[in-house]
Amino acid sequence: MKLQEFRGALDGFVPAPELEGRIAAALAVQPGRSARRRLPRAAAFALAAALALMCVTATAVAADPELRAAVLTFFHIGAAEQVPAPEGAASGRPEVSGGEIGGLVKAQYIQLDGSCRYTDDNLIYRTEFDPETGEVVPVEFWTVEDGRAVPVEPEINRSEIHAVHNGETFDVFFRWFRWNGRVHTLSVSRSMTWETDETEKSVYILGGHDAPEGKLLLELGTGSQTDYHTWYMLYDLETGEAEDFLLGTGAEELEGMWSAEWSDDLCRAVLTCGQMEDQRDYLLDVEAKTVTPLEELTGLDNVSAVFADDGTLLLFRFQEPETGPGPFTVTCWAYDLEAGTLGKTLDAVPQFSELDERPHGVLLMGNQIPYCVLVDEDGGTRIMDLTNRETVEIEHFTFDPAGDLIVSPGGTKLLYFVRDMDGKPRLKWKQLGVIDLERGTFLAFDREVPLEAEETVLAWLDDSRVVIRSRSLEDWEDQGIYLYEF
Amino acid sequence: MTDTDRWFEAAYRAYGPSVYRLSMVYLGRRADAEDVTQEAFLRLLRGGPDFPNGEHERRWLLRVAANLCRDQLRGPWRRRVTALEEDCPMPDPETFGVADAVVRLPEKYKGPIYLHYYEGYSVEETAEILHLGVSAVKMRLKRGREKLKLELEGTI
Repeated sequence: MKLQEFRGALDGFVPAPELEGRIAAALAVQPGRSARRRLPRAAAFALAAALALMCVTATAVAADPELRAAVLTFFHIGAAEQVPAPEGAASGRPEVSGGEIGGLVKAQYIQLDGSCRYTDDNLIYRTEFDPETGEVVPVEFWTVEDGRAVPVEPEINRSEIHAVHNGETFDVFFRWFRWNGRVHTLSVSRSMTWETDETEKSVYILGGHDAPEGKLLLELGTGSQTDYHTWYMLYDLETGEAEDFLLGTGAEELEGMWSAEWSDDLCRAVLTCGQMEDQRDYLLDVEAKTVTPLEELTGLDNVSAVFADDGTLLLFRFQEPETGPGPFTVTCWAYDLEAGTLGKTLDAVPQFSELDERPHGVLLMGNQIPYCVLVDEDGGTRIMDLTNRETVEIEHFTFDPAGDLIVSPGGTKLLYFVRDMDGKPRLKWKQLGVIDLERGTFLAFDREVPLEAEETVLAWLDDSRVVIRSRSLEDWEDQGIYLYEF
Repeated sequence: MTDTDRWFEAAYRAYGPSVYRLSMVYLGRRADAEDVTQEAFLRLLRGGPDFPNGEHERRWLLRVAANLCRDQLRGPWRRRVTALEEDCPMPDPETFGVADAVVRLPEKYKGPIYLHYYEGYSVEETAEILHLGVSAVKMRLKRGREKLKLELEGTI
């Protein structure tokens, strides 16, 4: 493809002439540019917090006799977090400071120089990019203990992968280390994809990082776009051998396999073959060495499959609404792989879209199954387990259309976060909160982030801590890693 | 004509086509791209900061549009291939094929490829607009280019 052809084709994406009028009409019902429409969120949350304090007990409510429903208490911390700027570390090693937010959330602010990364095992490491090899090389490691950054030196190993599939050879090397019993992989020689005279190839390390026997799941890719095909191998860190993980399962007979969704225990996978209308999914059982069409197994067609846990598949169907333009509807079934039983857990519920005038419907958390959020037209919020329809209601809380949730590694907590959409593009997240499904609590606080900072990563560090990575817009190298313990 | 009308007319004519085009690259459907374009301008009206100049305003709109598009692509259905809708008007099948190939790119390559190779933003500017690191943008441009087999003679 020539650059001129690329640009010429995109020149064809021209908005319809009536779009300008349509937007102008929508603007006409909005206040003028100088009049900011939104009320301060703090006022709404203060009211919600006051109401929440009046809620003495978390009482079970049977909104639907088939559901086991409960109510969460919601508490909004009155004091906003004053987030420090990412200033780097003058000492050359991470500098740690900290405090408490409203006496309820412990915050640690780690200032760093250069490009740093972190693992979900309380390990921070500084990296350097080698432009010659394309490798990101780890230089220094630290762990945070008692408010200090303590240098550590995990043993870095280098392993070579030599794999052959269907006449194609895949040769790469990568670096890795063990920390807290877990294998962390660092880099692969050259880029993850490369092109030979014959075809484009790629190697990805997909899973197996927790396996004590040290076997990693590899995805070998050939081709690109609709000609992209995958195969899966198991790589032994001790012997350096790559064995065919699908051998004898019947997967060899499938045409055009390009994706696999694996269960955490790597015992099963949903293999996707074909494109568009010819797309078909198959369930792979590694131990039984069988491949079964998902449609034959479940009786459902036109569904996307995701593992809720090692023994449960969630099957989603997305459909355009019959009533005309609008959000797609979502129907979901839970399929018990051991019992072979199927149960519908969502029935044509509109998909939540913040573009709606009054956003409502179901908000799916990507592949972070099994929970979804159900928001009604007034912003009332419930959390539902898609495997069994168990529902938790959050009282006195209005879901922010710019909000979202991330499930903790253990699956018992949800991180609630609200992106800033009010015109401060450098402020990434203006509110954080944690829903503890076991304790029945929901704690949230507002954040005030300096203008000169931008935030790039938000994730669970473990089941009790959340991490945010921040960096300076004035000096791209200065970074901060901020930890929150709820 | 009110001040708001005048402001919108100027802003839309200056940035509307770029916002719409970026949305088409991400989503491949005109109706979805129009929705995103509308929402981006509504957000500009009700919450946009005071920009020092038009270029800042343009970059803000592109960032908001990219985020809205990513939100639409989120979910278990995301791994399905996004394709250009079949009745999208194009001058000839070859041009349609080129545009379709861009829309079929994995989501993470679309923003960098569009902003750098179509809009002409530098790697650093692209990184700032998309809230990505410079090295990440370079890598995505490289891989996106590989996937498109994009030849760079006459490049900016």
